[in-house]
Amino acid sequence: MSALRSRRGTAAANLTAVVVFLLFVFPVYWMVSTAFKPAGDIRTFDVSLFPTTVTLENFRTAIGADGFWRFMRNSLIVSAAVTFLAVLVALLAATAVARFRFRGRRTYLLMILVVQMVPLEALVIPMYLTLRDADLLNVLPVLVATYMAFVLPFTVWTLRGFVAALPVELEEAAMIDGASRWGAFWRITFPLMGPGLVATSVFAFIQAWNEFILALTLMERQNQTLPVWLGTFKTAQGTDWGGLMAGSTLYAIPVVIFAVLLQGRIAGGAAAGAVKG
Amino acid sequence: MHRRLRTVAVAGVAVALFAAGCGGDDPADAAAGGGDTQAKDITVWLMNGSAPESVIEAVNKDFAAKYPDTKVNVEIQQWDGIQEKTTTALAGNNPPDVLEIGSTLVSKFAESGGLKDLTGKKGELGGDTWLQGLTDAGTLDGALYGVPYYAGDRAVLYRKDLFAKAGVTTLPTDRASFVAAAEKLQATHGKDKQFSALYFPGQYWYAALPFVWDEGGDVAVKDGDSWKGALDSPQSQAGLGWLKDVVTRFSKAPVNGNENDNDPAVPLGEGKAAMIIDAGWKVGTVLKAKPALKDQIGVFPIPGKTAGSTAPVFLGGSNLAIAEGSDAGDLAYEWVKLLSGSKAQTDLATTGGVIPNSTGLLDIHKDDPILSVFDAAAKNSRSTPATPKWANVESSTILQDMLVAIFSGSKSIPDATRSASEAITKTLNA
Amino acid sequence: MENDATNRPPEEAAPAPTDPGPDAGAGAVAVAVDVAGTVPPAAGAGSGPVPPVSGSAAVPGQAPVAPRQRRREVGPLPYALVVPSVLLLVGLLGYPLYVLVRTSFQLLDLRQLVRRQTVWTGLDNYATVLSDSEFWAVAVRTLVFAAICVGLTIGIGTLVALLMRRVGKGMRLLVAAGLLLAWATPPVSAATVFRWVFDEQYGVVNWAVTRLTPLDWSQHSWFADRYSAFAVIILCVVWQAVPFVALTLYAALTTVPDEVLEAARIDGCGPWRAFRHVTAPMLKPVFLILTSLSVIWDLKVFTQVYVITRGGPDRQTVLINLYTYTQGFGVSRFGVASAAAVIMVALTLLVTVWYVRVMVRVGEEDL
Repeated sequence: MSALRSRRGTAAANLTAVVVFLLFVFPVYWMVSTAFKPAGDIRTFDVSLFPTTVTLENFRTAIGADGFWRFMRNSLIVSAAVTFLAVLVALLAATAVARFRFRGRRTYLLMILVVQMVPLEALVIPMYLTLRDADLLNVLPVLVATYMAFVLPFTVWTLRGFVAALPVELEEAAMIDGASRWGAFWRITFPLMGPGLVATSVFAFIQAWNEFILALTLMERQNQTLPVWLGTFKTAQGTDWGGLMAGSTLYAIPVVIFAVLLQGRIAGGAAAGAVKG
Repeated sequence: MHRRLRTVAVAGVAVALFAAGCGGDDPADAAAGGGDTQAKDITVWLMNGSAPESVIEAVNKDFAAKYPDTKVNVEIQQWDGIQEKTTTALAGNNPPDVLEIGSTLVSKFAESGGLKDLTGKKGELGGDTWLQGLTDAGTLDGALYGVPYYAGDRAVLYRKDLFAKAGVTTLPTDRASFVAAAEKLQATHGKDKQFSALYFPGQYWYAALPFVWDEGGDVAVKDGDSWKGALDSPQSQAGLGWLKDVVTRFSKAPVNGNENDNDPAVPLGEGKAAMIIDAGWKVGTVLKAKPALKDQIGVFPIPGKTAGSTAPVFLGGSNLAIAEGSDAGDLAYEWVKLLSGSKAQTDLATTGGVIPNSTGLLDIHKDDPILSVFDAAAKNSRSTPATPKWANVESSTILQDMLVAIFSGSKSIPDATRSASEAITKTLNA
Repeated sequence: MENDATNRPPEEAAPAPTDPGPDAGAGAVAVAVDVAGTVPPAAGAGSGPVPPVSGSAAVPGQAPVAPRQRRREVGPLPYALVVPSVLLLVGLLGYPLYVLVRTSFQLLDLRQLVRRQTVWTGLDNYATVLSDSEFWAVAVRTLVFAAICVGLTIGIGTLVALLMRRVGKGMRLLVAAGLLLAWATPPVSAATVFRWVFDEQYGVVNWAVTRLTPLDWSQHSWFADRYSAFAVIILCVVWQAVPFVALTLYAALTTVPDEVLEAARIDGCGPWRAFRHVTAPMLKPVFLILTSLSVIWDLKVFTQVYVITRGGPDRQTVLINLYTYTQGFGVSRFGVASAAAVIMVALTLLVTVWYVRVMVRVGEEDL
């Protein structure tokens, strides 16, 4: 009786899981499947859930559009550089606030939280004015620097949880065995931080990858990134929906690959990061 | 566990190496590309889709023949975020030398001081034959800042086959016959609940203004030094009232839709609409999706109130401007002169299908049954109030909001036009 | 999470699944006894009511007191470690913030921007914003919007996390894959797709409703009415926010020992009571962090509104960030926009402070 109920419960749970999956996946499916539809089948009154004719035309258009690879290259460089630098700097800071109690620690953490409240859109003109006065507009490394401004606080905040979650005892034991503090950290704690570092990297990468308005206004064409490139499909003659969806798909692929590869670690790491402090 | 850790470490190192490796050469490369604005080079910003590549290539070729040492960098800008882009570019240290600016935005950027005064060059550029609407749009306080580039206007595109099936044999020549035709079309094809005799997305203000103007109304009128919103005038209300009636009866387009998300060319192509109000090149859009309709798309001017008249149309388009901060203003001017000159304009009108900037070229499409209608309509055209503040009315979506309120019935026409007029008065005099 | 027993005094090493009891409130003062012992007792107490920070997350029942046995000298090391981030933030964010505040006291229209003029106007911009009735309507609307989004995100995220805990490995991976795909989709593309899926004529939702139910929604407009327009925006925001919350909560749930839940079951707790009285209290720190981050994010929502409705119908879905943006790049009043942004940050701060205080009063959180 109880077993039966439990089996029914499991079936219901599995069914719910499938429904949840479909709900979350449907918009993504719609984007990707549209990318494979020929122009005449896309925005139509007669909606078809599955492509009746499959074409790669939209992907050809997208990849051929206005220097796709240049934008892709810029995006990869900027996002990778931001991720690397932010995680590196945040690792130091996170270790400090998670491992030590020091005067100003509370103020520091408060600052990290508060600066995340500033909307990026409001900072465009101030950043623009600053860079204009310094004559640093349209320099790709400067874009990296501006992204650091909003990626770094979140990265410190997340990473500090990961560091705090790691037992300090192993490190201390190594130190008792004669290792230097640095050696102990490097050999004992750092390897254990893998999941946390990876998860934080994904967060940082996604944020940098998706930024639009700074790339648009602070950079010129040759230094702009993929979110700006997506605008290629909106012309004076109207929107090329197939191209836009193919472009969006291409644009999402690196993030999906990055995230899926590291899937398990994201979840585990995020929890640790959130729970411990 | 250990293997997992190693994977993670490898991934991390890979990311790091990648960042370091790419970061090493590419930013330098890109920075070099961005920094070298030698006085000998000019940068030109054109909008995505405004001119066929062949036209620009021809202009560059002619330019290179004259100035072989000057490199012309043509950069195609996207419509998304173009106000932001133009704003920061004109205020920046290295603005582009030549910019294409949408006609209704020229006075805004001219007023800021970001554009060069070209008044002295007007004669040399052939300014006396320019289309009045584009010239006005490029002029602020009597000074010329934007050289007319090309124009576009709208007319009624219709499906010949659907007209024939409904027994509409003569094209409407005034609003009354327009409504009569729409009634017949709706009666014949209305079994399909999505069918619109006239497909009119609610926010489509470019297509709404002709009826306001036709009744003698206007968006705003100049009253001494200040502007006054005029959409609540009895004439404007009459035009909007007529349009509301037509839209309510004959349009199944989304009342809150706009002409981009709900491109009228789609229902026209699919036979869900018999008439749309749109630009000439939309014929190409329809035919791209439905090549079989090749001989089924016709066009007639937007009908006026009195028999045989046509309504004034909204003349859109673009102007070419030179940035005040350009360090190669003379070369930029020479380039603008080529693109706005009759050779490139002829080319543009022929291959691009747009209305050229000069009345002297208006018979260029005379053998084209479609484009000739648009060219003729341009002779009776209007534009938005010629004030730098107009752009703010557009970005505040005042007209769109008013139209949606009227068509959806959420506000009465007097209420909707009154609040829109107040908002326009406030914005234009801010 | 709770496995780090070494981080707390021995007598509290066991997880404390039930209400921690009165001495939980000691957290604020207990900072006095610190890892390094460098903070004098007065400093902790003197900071008064617990500072408005979420953050971390001490384990319920555990005073955030570092064990005495781990005293060690701090020295300059921690300062050296935070210095790079402080310098970067001060330079990259602090300076633009200073410029933001400075421009909020200036007349900075397009003309001043292009001609590089500095015109001080005192508090005019603030007066303009604060006397704009639309601003207040927008501010209230934004608060309600954020509250709904946060509630739905945390609620749905929790349910999905519990579901992932309940089902087998295959199903769990399936759900996780769906979550990841949603999360990785660029927000602009996601918003474009949502706008389309709910389109009046080309939208798959209206099509499906018309096909599968007796209703004819072939002409149903989702964006003509502000409530249904907001519903679509909220759906889009929540859809992309749930994955982070659900995956985090799922990972946290895996640390709740099965024995505890089993014990609760034997004691006659139903699943809801077990969650309410056992699981939820243990996960409170996670909820606190996720909620405060969600509050911060949802008060800043921009892309979804911009793409889906652009503030329509009749500007009734304008949220505060879009209001600020329109004042700036829309009508080129950058000074007013800066003032609005400053006010917005102040409001966000107030909300977060209020939220964290409430939470701190209920629990005993510390940085």
